Amino acid sequence: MITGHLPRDLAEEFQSPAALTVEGVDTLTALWAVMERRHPGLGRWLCEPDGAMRQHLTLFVGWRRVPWADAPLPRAEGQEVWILRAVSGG
Amino acid sequence: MSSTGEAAGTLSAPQVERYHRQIILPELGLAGQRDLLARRVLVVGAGALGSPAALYLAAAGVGTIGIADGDRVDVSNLHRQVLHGTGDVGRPKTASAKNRLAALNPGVRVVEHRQYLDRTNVLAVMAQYDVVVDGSDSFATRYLVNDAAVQLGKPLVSAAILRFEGQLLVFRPGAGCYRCVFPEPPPAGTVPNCAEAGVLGAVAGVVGSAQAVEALKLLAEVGEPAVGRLSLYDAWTGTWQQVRFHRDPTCAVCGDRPTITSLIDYDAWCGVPADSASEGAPEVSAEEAWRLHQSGVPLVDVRPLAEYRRGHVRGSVPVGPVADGSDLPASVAGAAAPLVVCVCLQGVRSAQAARRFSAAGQRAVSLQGGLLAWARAGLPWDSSSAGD
Repeated sequence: MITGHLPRDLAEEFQSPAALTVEGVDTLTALWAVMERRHPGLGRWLCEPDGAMRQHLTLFVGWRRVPWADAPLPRAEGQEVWILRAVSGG
Repeated sequence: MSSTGEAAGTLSAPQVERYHRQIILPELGLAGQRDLLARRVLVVGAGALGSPAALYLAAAGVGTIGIADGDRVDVSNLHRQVLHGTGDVGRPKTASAKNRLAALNPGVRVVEHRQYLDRTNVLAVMAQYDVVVDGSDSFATRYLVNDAAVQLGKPLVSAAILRFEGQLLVFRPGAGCYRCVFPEPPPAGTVPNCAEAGVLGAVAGVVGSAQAVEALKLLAEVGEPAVGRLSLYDAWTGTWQQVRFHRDPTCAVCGDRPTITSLIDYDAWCGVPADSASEGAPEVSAEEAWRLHQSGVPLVDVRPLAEYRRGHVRGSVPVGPVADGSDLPASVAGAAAPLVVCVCLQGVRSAQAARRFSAAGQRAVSLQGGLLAWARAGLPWDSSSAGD
């Protein structure tokens, strides 16, 4: 099982829980596909049309940052995946 | 770190009395307190985050506190910017902050930098300080401050808030930078700021206070500063989470082969127009937009759907944030609209969207002042779930 964490406002935008659990996927590419299926538009918000993650997003798998250029990732079964982007409020 | 003044001496009796509860912490002690009194910290932004950060830094006895901000106090700041009071509305934030901090602790020196930091002044200002606390409210300033901190080799405590969430990052020279975590800002207009999406004031208190804690550890050289960690605060669930990062060898600023070796035009890089957010975008008043709409011109709301649901111009169609090269959705384009009016909350994102539509061949104008101006004009708006 993978748990994908999204910024709360993004989750709200796509009517998704902020923590999304997904069974039976072992790559991020598969995770994006499930997200898109469950919450139409979410996967497309996260990825370019060619499947690459959008450059302003940053990804943490297993509590460690994975440079976007390295996605898609190897096996991520059981991982916590954090999808974040900078915010500027201060 | 610099060492001046009281570091070499002993604490006075009033100082011992004032800082006693801190001095009796064995991890800090008299030596740590003397260090704090000799240190200099720069707080960028006397706003929501800068307020609690500066207050706790002053209370703790950091000897010199610089406050950099070119803004003035607005009444809408007061629910979260606790440095300022009702009587300060209209005053420069740095002046208000200086008065408040002096009242809290006259033993610290507060230096006003009554200006917005930019590439012409940031290095000279930041060079005077040991640690930088960034509580600014724009991506351009965040990347500017980061790049300057890397150039100067200054530790940086950066934080940001939005709605119910906060991010806190601590950087030491050589251990990564803001760009290692966020190499690029979100496309302009796709992430709202606090004025657009709102923020619970107390969230700033939590996150800004955490910034002060991290800065104090760096200044006194005690404890384990949260270097290499991104701390995420979710006020909705009352939880903190931490994820880790390292210096990114491919980072444009602190990587092995940096491509950004001097300060750049951060507004341009972050997609902010040079003079005003609406530069180049034709604008219409609320009344004119109403007349256009009555004559069949579509109103397109360019904010995220969740924002749209919270309140929108009656009859507007949610199309979501508009990226470069965006076309109108088929639902609107199908009406063969020769002109559309773009709408957001304040008229900033709609101006950007209008420019992008125009660049893509769709004639578009922006509602000046956005939904707020529309509502002020007494025109109809809804907060229903229309458009779901």
